[in-house]
Amino acid sequence: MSGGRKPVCCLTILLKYFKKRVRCRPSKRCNMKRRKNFNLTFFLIFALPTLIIFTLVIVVPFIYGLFMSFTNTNGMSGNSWVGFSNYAAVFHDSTFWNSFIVTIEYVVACVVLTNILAFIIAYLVTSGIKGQNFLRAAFFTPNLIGGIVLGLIWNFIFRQVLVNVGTAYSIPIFQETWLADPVKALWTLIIVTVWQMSGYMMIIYIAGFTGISQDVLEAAEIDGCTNFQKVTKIEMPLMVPSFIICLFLTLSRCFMVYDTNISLTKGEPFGSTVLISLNIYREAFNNNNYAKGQAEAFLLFIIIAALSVTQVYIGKKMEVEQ
Amino acid sequence: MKKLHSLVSLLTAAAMVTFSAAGCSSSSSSAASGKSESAAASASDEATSITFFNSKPEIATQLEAAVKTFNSTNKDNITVTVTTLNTSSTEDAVLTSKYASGNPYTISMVDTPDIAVYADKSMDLSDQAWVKNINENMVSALKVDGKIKAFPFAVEGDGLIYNKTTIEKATNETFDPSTVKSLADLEALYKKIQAGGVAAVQISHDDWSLANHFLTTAFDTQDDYTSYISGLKSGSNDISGNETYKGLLDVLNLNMKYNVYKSSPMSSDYTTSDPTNIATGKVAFWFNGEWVMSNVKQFLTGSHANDEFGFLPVFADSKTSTCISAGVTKAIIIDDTKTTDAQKKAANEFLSWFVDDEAGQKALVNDMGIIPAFTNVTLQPSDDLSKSIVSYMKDGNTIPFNTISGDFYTKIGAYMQQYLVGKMDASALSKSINDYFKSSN
Repeated sequence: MSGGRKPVCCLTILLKYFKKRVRCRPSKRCNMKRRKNFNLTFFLIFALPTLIIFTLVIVVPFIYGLFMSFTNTNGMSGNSWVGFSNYAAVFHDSTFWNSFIVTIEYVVACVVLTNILAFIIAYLVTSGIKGQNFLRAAFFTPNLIGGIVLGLIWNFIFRQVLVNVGTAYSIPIFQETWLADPVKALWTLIIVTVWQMSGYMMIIYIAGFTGISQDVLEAAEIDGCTNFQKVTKIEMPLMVPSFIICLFLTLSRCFMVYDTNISLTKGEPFGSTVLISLNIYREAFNNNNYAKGQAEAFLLFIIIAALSVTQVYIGKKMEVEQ
Repeated sequence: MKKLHSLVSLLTAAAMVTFSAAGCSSSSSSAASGKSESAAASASDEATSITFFNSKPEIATQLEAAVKTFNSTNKDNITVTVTTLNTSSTEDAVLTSKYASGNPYTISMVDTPDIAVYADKSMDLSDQAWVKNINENMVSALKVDGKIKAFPFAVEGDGLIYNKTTIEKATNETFDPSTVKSLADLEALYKKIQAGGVAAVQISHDDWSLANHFLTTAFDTQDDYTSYISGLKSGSNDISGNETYKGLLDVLNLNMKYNVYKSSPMSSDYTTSDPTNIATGKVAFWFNGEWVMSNVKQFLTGSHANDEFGFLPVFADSKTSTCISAGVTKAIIIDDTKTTDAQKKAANEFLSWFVDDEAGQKALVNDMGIIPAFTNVTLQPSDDLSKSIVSYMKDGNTIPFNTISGDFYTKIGAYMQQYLVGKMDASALSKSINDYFKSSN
């Protein structure tokens, strides 16, 4: 497996750190902070600048936004406290719930498909086939395309390229643009997102695969494991940390998608593919309902945070040590 | 060796922090304004510098050239700096964030419905010299509580665009637009064009086109627009009783019958297939506005380089059989919260330059291709569609349009799209529109 042993250093180290923390958690005496070489000055020099920027750019607007969601501001004027009426309005807003349901459908499909695809590709690409380094780069490249350009390219493909191919070769499913039908339009979003994100998740799974000790696998082979049993009974349980990370990343990214949404479908047809971030943007800026949009954004934050924390918690429970 | 290590790691960390701060974050950065923030300059009379926010990206280059000319020719040492709207953001988003940060532009170009939104922050311009020259049909849109709060920058209009050359090729006879006086005449013409092998009309499925331009004609023709809308909101008015609305649905039905996109109405594309179709003779009619000319021009090459265009009214009712919708779409407001008096004077001088100065008029009409709202500007814009609007304006045959802000165009646009593809019938559409107004505040 020499060809496949090119670890992605940072991620492997990250995973090992993860495992270390898991091992230390039950014991109260193992306090990471009190290690012998801990130097406060160095810690601050490295962490403080980023911490300051993080506070100013993310924490402060977050708190201010939270405060705004309890007022009746429209972005520029109106600062009277209205309590929870914005949140009540959001709960009664059918467009919010419609976009929420569409987003859930989108997220479920994306998370499942991305992770399956990334896992399979990572497995193939670490199995020692020829040219696997090139393949890794090739599969990762879609991730480098930014959201808006990605949406525009695929909009062109779905609207013009596939329609032309479909009419020229009489393939009925492509003859009408997929973007004109609500169900198919959602699938275009899913396809584009899966295409983009599988490369990134593949990298994480590769790191996971290369972190599996060869001794375990060899021992299993000697004991007469088939390939399929090797994958399901040994590699998958050992890969749970990677699963946690990938699930967390895909879940949060898919929930927050905006730029691909607006450049690929613009929410059409008939507003059926308006995902939740687009809905928030429209509410805040198009409808001048800044406070209500802020309330929706905060609700989205709570939902994503709850889902992610739950997912990580359950995942940690399933971790297996080598 | 250890010292070198720690030095290198320190430098790397510093570099990473700098790059992470300067690099882009993937979260949507909606405030797109960039560099030139020449904020409130010195209060001296020597040099005044004002900032101008342009929300019309299509004229960006020409506007910057005009501003350069003004900066070099004006006698009061005024310097104007233009910032243009980035297409991934919206005018509302940028202006909201500028006002929130306490750093607004001196003058900002806004969509007409937003004049009211920023009215309490804008200067009263009712006593300016150029007010008397505004075309009478265009004044009402600029007024908030009886005071003129904005400078009318661009007039735009929409109607049934026709390509005269395409029609004549398809029907083999010269086309005189004045012979089409009613919907029946239009249908007869469509049949002739269809028989000539050319699709008669194309419908853009975009929600803003169907809702904000096509449907709102039904409200604009009402005698008292404001009370009609409040009637809809209170439920005392029913849109299905609106004569213009019924006529508009007839026009839409006719267009749907002869739509080149009939098999898949949602596949029209405003930037590619629509302008190509009208420019290259695949379609003869298109309901849209004169702003499409800049897109269509790219495709007017070769044998189509000299195609003639014009506007026909939509024939929904008696008023709309002679008039087209035209009004001020972009207006310029002068900030009243953070500008100094010198800046206000400079801003007004800059704006009057477009009305009174020959170089300014030329920049506005010829270079930027904008239809002016002022009667004293005699220059004619160069493209056919703008010329057509100017002639309707001269005859007073325009219906001012009012835009309903908020989620009108996204929600009603979605309903109209469903009607377009046949998912909704006329009664369901009327009910949806009525319910929308009743539930909006």
